[in-house]
Amino acid sequence: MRKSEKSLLDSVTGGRLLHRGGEASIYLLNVGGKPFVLKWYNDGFSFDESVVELVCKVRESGLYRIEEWGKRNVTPYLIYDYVEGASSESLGRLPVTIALVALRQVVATLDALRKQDVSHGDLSPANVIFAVDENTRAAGERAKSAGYGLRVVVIDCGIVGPGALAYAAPERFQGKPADEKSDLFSLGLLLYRWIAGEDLISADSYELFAEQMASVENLNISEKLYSTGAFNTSEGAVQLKALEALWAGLLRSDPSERVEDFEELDEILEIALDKIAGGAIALSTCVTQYIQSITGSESYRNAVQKVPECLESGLPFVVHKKNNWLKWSIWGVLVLILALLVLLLSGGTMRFGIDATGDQLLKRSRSMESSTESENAPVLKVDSLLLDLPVPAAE
Amino acid sequence: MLGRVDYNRLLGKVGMFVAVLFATVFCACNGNDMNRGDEALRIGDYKRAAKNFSRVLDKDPANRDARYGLAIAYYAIAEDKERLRVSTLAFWERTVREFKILSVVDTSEKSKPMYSTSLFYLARAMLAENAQAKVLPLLDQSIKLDPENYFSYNLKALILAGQGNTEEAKKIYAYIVTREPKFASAYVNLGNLYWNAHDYESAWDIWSMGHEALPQDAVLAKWTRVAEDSLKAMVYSGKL
Repeated sequence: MRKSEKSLLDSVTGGRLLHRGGEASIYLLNVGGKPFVLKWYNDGFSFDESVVELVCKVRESGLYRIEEWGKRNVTPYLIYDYVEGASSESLGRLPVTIALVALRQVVATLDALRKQDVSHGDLSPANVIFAVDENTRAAGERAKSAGYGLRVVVIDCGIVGPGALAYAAPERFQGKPADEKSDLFSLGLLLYRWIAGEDLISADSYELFAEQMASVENLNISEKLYSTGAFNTSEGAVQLKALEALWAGLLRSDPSERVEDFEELDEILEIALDKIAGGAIALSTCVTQYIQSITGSESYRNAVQKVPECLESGLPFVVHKKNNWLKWSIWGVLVLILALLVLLLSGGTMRFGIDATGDQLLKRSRSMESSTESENAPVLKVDSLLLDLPVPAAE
Repeated sequence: MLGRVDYNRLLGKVGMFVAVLFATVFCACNGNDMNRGDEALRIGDYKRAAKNFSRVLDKDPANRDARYGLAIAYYAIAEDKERLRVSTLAFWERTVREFKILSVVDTSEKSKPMYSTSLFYLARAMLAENAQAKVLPLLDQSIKLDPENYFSYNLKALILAGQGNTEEAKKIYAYIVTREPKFASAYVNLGNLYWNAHDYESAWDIWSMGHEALPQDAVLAKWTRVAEDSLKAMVYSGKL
């Protein structure tokens, strides 16, 4: 849990549902005018708290920044800074150069995570966001040199389970935890998706995914890419050739046959970029043009969300004031019952009872009776008149 | 985890409420004796009422309601004895003593009229034991406690008349019939004063006035008729 006294959820002034998924629902929040993303987990889903704690220690521009996590009403949730950009899932097919530049940034981020003993475990196009790097100086040297104004941000670390099945390494289907090797396999599938615009592996069930991932080296990836029609030119042929080393180093069912680590992968990516980019200037121009093309596109504009000004109805994390009213009403009724009991038992009504009884007795006692008849002539002897005196008691 | 914390908080609050409730019921346990006393008082079981109120006072001597309840019970017992025409002095002494203690703990005006009547009865009981008893201070106190207690005024006027202070007595009787025109005894006693002074006309005036105000009162009817007859006889005899 974030070490603050008050949860950000208690300060939310606006909120909107962005996406309802199988694992969690994603909301965009407005907290003091600043946008945040809330990941509200569905029943049976959660995150690895130890991983989240370690992720918080990593300060990389390519990694999302977690602000708070915990449970509310027994539901696990996670809040992180909103990244203004577009999910790579929505961008369609990417130019090979851009895909390689983006992948190098992802690799740099994953390498930083690995130094904290954290593996992502759920790499997929949905968890990589393409944004414009407004302040390259804030980025690390490596990211700055490789980014060319493009900022690629990785989100959603520390999932419990294999993650997105179309991007999971074969060993993840066997229940093994995520590690650097499994992330490397996922990166191969992610690169293919970016270049081809479609998933390399598609299946209808968990078992079929597991089976196909285990025999991924049987696929001729260059041939599959060629069949998309995007690589029919001589330039395309060069690109396919440059990518072969990546497929060979990443998409291997046996983890030991994959590249050694992220550093080695980065070197292979650098070599591939050298082969197809045509120099640093050409590469920079290409990236700049791409950024301009995506920021001007309809899908990118749609993807950039406005901070919600009000709360959508039915947000599960909002503590309704109605509940407070209910709570106070219940306490009010209980206090009222207590007060009545005190009144009843400790003599509140007795005061009325005794006084009423006294009044009743006195009234009966003082009721006017007829003067006592005397046969004698009036005399003025007090003692003889005493018994004939009018008395309060009436019979 | 969070659910357990909420559950524990709820449990704590409910526990606190139950504890307060228990303490209230425990503290209010005297209320049971009070209830029984009041119930006994209302159905005329005065001895039992006195017993229950005494029990409450054993635990809480300054309990105003129990003190008032006990005084009422003593009052009712003494008044019952009064109807039997036996000596009631001891009973009224006990009642007045209880009202005196009550006046210390009771700041309300509620019990004053009954205290005042108790003093009247005590004065009357003292005179019954000893015709020379000095009861005027008691009657003055009674009138001070309840200025509308015309029984005390009436007895005071009777005593003053007996002492020869007929003018003061007449003033008091006149005051009574002015404030309470249905107080038959005041008409009778005032008429008596005039009759014994041989002022038959004035006696007739008072008795007939009383008879007019209270046509059902046999004594007033009788003495009005007697006075009328006497006046007629005097006219016939030439004395008037």
